[in-house]
Amino acid sequence: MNFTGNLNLDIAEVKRLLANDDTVVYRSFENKYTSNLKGIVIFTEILTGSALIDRHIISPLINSDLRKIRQLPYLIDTVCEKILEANEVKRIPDINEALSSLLIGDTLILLEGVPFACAANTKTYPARSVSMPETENAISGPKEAFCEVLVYNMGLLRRKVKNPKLKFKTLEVGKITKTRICLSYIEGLAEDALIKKIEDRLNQYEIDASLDSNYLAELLKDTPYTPFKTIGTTERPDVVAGKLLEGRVAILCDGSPFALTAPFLFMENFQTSEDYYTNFYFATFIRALRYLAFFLSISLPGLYIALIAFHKEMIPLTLLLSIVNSRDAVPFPAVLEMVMLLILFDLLREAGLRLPKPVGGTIGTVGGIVLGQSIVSARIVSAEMIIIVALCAITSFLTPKLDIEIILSRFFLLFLCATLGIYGYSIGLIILFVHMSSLNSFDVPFLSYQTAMKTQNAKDVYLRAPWWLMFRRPKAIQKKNVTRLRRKD
Amino acid sequence: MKRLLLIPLLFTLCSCWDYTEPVAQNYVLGFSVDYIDDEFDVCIETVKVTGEPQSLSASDGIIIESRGVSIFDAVRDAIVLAGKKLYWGHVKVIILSETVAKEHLHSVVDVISRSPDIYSNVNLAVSRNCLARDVMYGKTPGESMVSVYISSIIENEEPSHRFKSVELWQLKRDFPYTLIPAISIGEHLLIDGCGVIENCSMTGYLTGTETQIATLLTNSTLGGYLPCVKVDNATLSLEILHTRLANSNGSCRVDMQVALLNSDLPIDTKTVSSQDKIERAAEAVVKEQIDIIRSKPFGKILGHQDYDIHVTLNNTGLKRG
Repeated sequence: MNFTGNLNLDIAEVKRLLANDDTVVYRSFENKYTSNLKGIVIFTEILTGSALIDRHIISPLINSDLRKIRQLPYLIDTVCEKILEANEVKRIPDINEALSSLLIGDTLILLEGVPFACAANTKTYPARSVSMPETENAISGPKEAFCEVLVYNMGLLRRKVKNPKLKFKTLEVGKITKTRICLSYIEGLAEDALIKKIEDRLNQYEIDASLDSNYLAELLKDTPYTPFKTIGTTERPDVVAGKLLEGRVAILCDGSPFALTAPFLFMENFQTSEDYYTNFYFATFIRALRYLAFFLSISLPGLYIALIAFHKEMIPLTLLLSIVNSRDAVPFPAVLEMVMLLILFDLLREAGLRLPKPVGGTIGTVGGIVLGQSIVSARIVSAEMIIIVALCAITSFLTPKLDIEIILSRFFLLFLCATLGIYGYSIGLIILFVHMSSLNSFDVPFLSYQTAMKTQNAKDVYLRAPWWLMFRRPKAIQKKNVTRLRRKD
Repeated sequence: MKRLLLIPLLFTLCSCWDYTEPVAQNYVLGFSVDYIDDEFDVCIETVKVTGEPQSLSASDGIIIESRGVSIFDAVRDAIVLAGKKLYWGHVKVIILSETVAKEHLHSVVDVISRSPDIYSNVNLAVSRNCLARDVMYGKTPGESMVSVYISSIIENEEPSHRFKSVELWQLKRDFPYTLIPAISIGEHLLIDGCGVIENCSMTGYLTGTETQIATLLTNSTLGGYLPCVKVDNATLSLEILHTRLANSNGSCRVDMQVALLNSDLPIDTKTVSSQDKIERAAEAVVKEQIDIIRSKPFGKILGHQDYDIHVTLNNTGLKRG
């Protein structure tokens, strides 16, 4: 529905649409010098600076001498171009669009006889400042993380890539929330087909709200039911910049401090930003540790149960004797004991996460030390079982991006090992591998580079080769413009 | 659809449905087999579970005795006596009595080989001048479990060469002749020499020194030592560093390189003449042992060829022309 140009009717319509919203301020005005210019300024006091509106919108509208300009079209042009002191003034004929603009912090100016609203940019954001990353800490490298304000996040990215080819395409998602999201990519590096595919998928759904970027992650996934993440999330601008430079696309969502990146491959779970800021030998060693940790974290409980329940001959006799002695008075079957302890660990982890930081530490002490020691002393569980679960916990912290995958795979393998022993473990691994092989992230195979044994591919998968050797961008993502490093002639 | 049918088969046609709690079993470390009064007498040594953390050497063993018309029968009775299922995956040693080794070895080995639980790398031993069950009750210095003690000695036999370890699978490999360690009971258990198995039946014993020579000449080992070589009223010990056998025209040339083990010698070993004496004396000792072995019923163990022994003394610092 469009504005009519009849001020009273237009105000009535706006008021009807914004009924019961006491944060919206309506300020009528009339120019001191001419009655030709009268109207109303509408803004919402929670998203705008009232001093800014007083000084740069209302005061010029009232105090400017406009007696010489008699014809309405010229008057409107003068108001937009000379009177309103805002960095952006738009003319919006549609009422709903104008209201959307109002609700993100613009100020609407409706004038008598004018069939559109002038929207002046007066946005100020109630936001926290840029802070340190909380989920992706690094000792070396940048210490800044995204915050909840989209434009700040876009600014952080722009500061990393000062190139006009870095594009920000904004869309609106959320039928009710009207959340702004931004597709960011580097023109010439990101494939056009990839950008179109992401846009198509975003336009495929009509959702009430998108309060966080993960709302979108679930909508965008190629295989919705898989527990494996095929869209990456990060709170670090440097990580997003790195991915954009490889031809990926980032999706920023207003209100979310996490950016999504696509395509996302399995190997990216084992890469951290710090790998690229430290010595490549050390980074390679740490990366190998992460692979080992992932393997141990999903396998240890299952393998332990398989060995002690099915394949005792594979355990050295001394160790077997130690296990038998420690389990002598334990009332529960080993598999039940393992399930109980794993759930207990997840309970403690969850409790520690949700509580305020000082109390979270207490949970660790009470849960880890007091409870752990007590249940072993009380012979409710055996000491070896505590060691296995503790090892699982420690190893899972090395690949925090894979937390859900690890928990589910661990229980899946444990179930198979408890029923079929090592045979079940082998079947489980095969099923996991086949499933992962069948996944795609925006038409890029999820296990790309993990299985293809080519030297250039391995340089940033199992190893972190020195920069001068990683002279090509990942070919699975970027097919045309593959060279990222070459020696100057 | 047909492929999907494979999934339930993967789970149901496998043989892995025997989940057993580790505390629900008795762990057999070794057992002895006697043949008494037309019955097999089996003594099974298992680990005693105390519920306290302890090392293997400090653990106590429990011996379960059982009899039956067959070994299988005896073992089944042992399960009833033990009160728990017996786990055979960690059996370290099987001790056979002389009678069993002579008359029932085939049936014993057959039963054990067919058992899926007992691994074919289990060590075999034969009791000499005593029952096998007496060995299970024998005294051991240090270790509290006989099976652990015996297997530990057998696994560390390399430096002595006075007996030769044999695992179950080697019986087939070494057919028709196999040597298995012989255990006797003195102040405590002693392993010295071997029983000679010929065509799945024990035919006699070799002493420790004879075992050394026999294993050298059958190319089973390449080292060892000669403890008593007499030269000019002095008794020398020689270490066999290396042996090389070369067959030609029905005779076997044996080149042995030896070194002196004594540090305080009553003779001057730096001269060519004394070295020659030592070498000839060593050759004589070896030939004497060959003659002793040849005189025994299982003398064929060395084959029918003549042995041409050549001993060379090493590490004397003397240059030869």
